[in-house]
Amino acid sequence: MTDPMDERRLRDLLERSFAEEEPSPELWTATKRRVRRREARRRAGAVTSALGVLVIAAFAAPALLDALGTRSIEFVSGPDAAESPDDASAEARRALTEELAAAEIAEQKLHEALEASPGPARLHAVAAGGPGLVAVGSRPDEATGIWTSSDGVRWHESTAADGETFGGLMAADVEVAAVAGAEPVLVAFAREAAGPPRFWVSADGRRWAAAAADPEVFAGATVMDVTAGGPGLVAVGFEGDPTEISTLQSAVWVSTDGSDWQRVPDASDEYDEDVMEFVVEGGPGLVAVGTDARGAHVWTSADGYVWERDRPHLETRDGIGLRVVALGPTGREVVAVAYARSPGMAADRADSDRDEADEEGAEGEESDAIAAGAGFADAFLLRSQDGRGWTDTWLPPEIFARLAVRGIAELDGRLVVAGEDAYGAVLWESSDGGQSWTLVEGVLTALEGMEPIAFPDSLAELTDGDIAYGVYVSVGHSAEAAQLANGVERLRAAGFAGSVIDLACDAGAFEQLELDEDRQYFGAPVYFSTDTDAWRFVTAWKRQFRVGVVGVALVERGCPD
Amino acid sequence: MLRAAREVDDAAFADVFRMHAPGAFRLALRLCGDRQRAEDVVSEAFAKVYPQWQKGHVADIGAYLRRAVVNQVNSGFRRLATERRWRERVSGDGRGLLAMEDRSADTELFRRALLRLPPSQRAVLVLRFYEDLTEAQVAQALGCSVGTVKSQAHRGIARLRQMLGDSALARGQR
Repeated sequence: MTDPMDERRLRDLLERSFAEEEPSPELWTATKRRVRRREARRRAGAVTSALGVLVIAAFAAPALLDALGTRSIEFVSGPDAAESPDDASAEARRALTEELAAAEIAEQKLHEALEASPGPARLHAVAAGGPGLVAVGSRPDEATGIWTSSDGVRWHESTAADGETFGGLMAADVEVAAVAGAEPVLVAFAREAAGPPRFWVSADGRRWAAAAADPEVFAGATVMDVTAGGPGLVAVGFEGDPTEISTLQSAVWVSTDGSDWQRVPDASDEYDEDVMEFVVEGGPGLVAVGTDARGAHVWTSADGYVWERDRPHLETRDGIGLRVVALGPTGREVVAVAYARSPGMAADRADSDRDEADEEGAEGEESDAIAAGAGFADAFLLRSQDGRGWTDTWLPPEIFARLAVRGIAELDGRLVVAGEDAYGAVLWESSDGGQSWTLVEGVLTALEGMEPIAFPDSLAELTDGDIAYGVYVSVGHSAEAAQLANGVERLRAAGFAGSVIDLACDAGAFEQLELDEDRQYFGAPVYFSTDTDAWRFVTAWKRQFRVGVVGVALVERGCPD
Repeated sequence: MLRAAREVDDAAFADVFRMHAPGAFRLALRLCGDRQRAEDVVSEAFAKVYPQWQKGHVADIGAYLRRAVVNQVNSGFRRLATERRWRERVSGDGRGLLAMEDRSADTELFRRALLRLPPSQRAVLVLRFYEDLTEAQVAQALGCSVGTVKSQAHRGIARLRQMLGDSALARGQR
């Protein structure tokens, strides 16, 4: 609507163009009769449906719980979140507990699954340490949190030791930049917009205490990363004004305990106009990676006090200039994720994938995910045993071109890359040295406080004429379309009995999903009583599978005559 | 589904009906253009809302009903496969401008033009400019994005202009 006159005229015409504005007095009687008829039909169907649900739950729930315990990331929130669930969530949880308890499902495990929080919405850093991995990120409420995991699957949020340790982080505008694994201490530190860095230390990654570092030691400098090594801990960064490259010079600090830091004088005096960004134990003792105006550089040191910078820039074997975004130790070697400094073939490949997806129905909002990625630059996994000679492996662009990498670490022989994509924090793992990658899938947190119309079989209780909010995870022109099979598989992995339906059976779906009414569509749906639950499911779906849904529609169940 | 079933409370639901049925009927009338069909749509919408209302699932019954009415009208059109035939019956050849010789009958022309719009465009215009919902509320009612509401409104207006003539909408209130 562009012309206000149009709006006024349209309102007027809409008001005046329909006579006889009141419904007839008989309408209430007719409606009451219709309500009672439907109620009777519903009661008759409920008896058989209830029996069916119990039988289905008895068979399907163990599979769901297995899935929760093996292939899922499970972020368990701290005591504050666990002790104050909202009323709706508590009621739905109780209801679902009752239902599954009737099928003799272990209640304790169910409660664990239902209390899973969404985990970090954003991820700042991940490092090996503590029980295995330590992650620093932001919760959905944007408060900063720290999570630990022994297996990369189940995550626990750390508690603040003194009630103020992370309270300070939340209240102040502080960005946590890294976590360093050190034995026996872990160090988290924050870069503030102005002022010296702040440090926290922890023995186990679960409880943290502020470390009182002397701010004078860091005057005029910025800490970029910390690791175990040298005399105990080594920090790298730079001094100078980051907006004036000519003023920059790499800087190194060492500490025995995380509190008492000493600046290493002239650690890399041979060169300037560069910045050390990452440091890990490895090679001759320590390996650092950073950059200058022309590309990536590597520094090595035996003790943290004397550093040597490589002379040529770090490049792939094909001479592609790199920008390193994550560096991690594996015990045997140093690994890094790097992106080409200029966009490459990944862009064309991503566009081609998207075109193919457009041609055959729809599965989620892939374009959103791609748009949030790293700019289609080619990504590489770099490995080195000594910090001097490096090998590179081209990383799959369908994963890494849309991922903002925050950390790389080794866990039980697997490489784990943590990062963020369009849907939040995510972990990918590789067991073959980076050749192939698998998403570490999360719990379908949709179950938390949700009330699907029928669980786990989403169609079990829906009969013709019922009205429900349908979430369509994928649609296609053929019942055999690949994206439909994929959607069904994901629904089943999440504990729902996914199936393919003819969308014509969900009256209202075509219009709301904006599908071409002259074509036939099939869909993989799950149904909910309320739009709130439907949209919460969508959010959880995106978080777990890193792909959107086709849409949500309030539909009437019933196939055309 | 696991909540204890409440007893049917005819009196309370009758109050809800008295309060919301007239508005739902006027909305349905503008969406489908037929009084008898509008009553049927409203009756069916209330019958579908009832179990949700009884379980306490409906926080905003006006919004819920509005959405049910829109869906009922649109899905009914499609499911019965009558819309295309119906549009053709209303509009003659189904294309081009409506006859504009009788300018005094502008409300009737408008009514016919409105009912020739695709259901989604008609729903957006009626909800936006008759129900006076905001674009965000229309989006929520139709389960689509605000961008879709804007584009559908734009297309709907353009189509009305095409059918009624460029100046028809802008002639001001009489």
